[in-house]
Amino acid sequence: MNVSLPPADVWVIVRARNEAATIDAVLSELRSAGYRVLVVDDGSTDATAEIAIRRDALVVRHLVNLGPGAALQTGLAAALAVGAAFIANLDADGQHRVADLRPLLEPLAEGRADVALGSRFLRREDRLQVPFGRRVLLRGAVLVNALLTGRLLSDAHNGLRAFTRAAAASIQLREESFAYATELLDQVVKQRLRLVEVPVTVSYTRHTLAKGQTAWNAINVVLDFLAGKVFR
Amino acid sequence: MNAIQFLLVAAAVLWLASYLAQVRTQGLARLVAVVAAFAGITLVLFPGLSVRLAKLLGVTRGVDLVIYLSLVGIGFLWLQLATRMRALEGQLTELVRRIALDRAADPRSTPAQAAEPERPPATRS
Repeated sequence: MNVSLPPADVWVIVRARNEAATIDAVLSELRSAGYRVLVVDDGSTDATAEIAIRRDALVVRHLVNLGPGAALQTGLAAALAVGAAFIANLDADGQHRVADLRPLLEPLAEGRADVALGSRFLRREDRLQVPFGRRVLLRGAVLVNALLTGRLLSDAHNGLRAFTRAAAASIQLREESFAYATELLDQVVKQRLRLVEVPVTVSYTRHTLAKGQTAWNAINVVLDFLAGKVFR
Repeated sequence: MNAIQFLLVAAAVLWLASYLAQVRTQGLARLVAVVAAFAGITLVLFPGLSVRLAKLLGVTRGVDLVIYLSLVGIGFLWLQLATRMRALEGQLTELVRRIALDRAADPRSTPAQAAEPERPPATRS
């Protein structure tokens, strides 16, 4: 990295809902890499929050489950409030690699971009990690996103991303559900934030696949996004 | 007045009364409700009216016309409810977020203490 980027300037938002089984490993890895960790507990009924506190994370807790979009917005607000210079976002189920955060943050630290989004489709070896059904689904999502936002990316709904402080402050997510990812892209495009895609590896296990999206959910995402445009 | 007419008029009156009793309904919605209830009662008491109206609009039977119109009405009602629901969800999100941020800022209330039994969360994520 050309520009020095102390990990302590970076707050990593980890959204979690009933992730007691996997969150400990993710948090300890983040802590040993030196990052500051902010856990948004989205209405968990298990020990997720207690584990996060034990791992010295700042825990922000939704009393009821609101959804991933609302959790990210809460995380952004909290990270801004504690003075984060850079804000990253990584999922609690262990599907993302902590090592991928650095290349994600690099273009932001160097001033080349305001928002960095992880992509599973920039490198052949990452692409092959994605199960076939998921690949088809994501291709569709990429096209839908392009139609709705006017920006064609290589990946969609990848939970690994990073923002500069200014970019995070300009994002105002109102979609509580999974449609937030499209809304996020929409706002990035509308506000002319500089966007880069960075290759990342996502590992799929039965656990992450069960937590992930289904084709049915994809329809909901489109309808939610359109409803949001009509009703608000 | 035969039995069905009595039943329908009573239902319309009850519906209107309970609707108007809700404090939160707004002015325009109330006006629409009053007009709809009285239109319904009129059609029930004078069945010939709906037949003549139907013929005028190119529908064969009066009952068919009433069904079509009520479908349109239900559609509007659904839209109004959906809009209000969305607004309420937004307010709930705002509220829950505010509480989450306030509690995080206050060192006395660690999330462990805040973990009183809550109602089971809705499954949205």
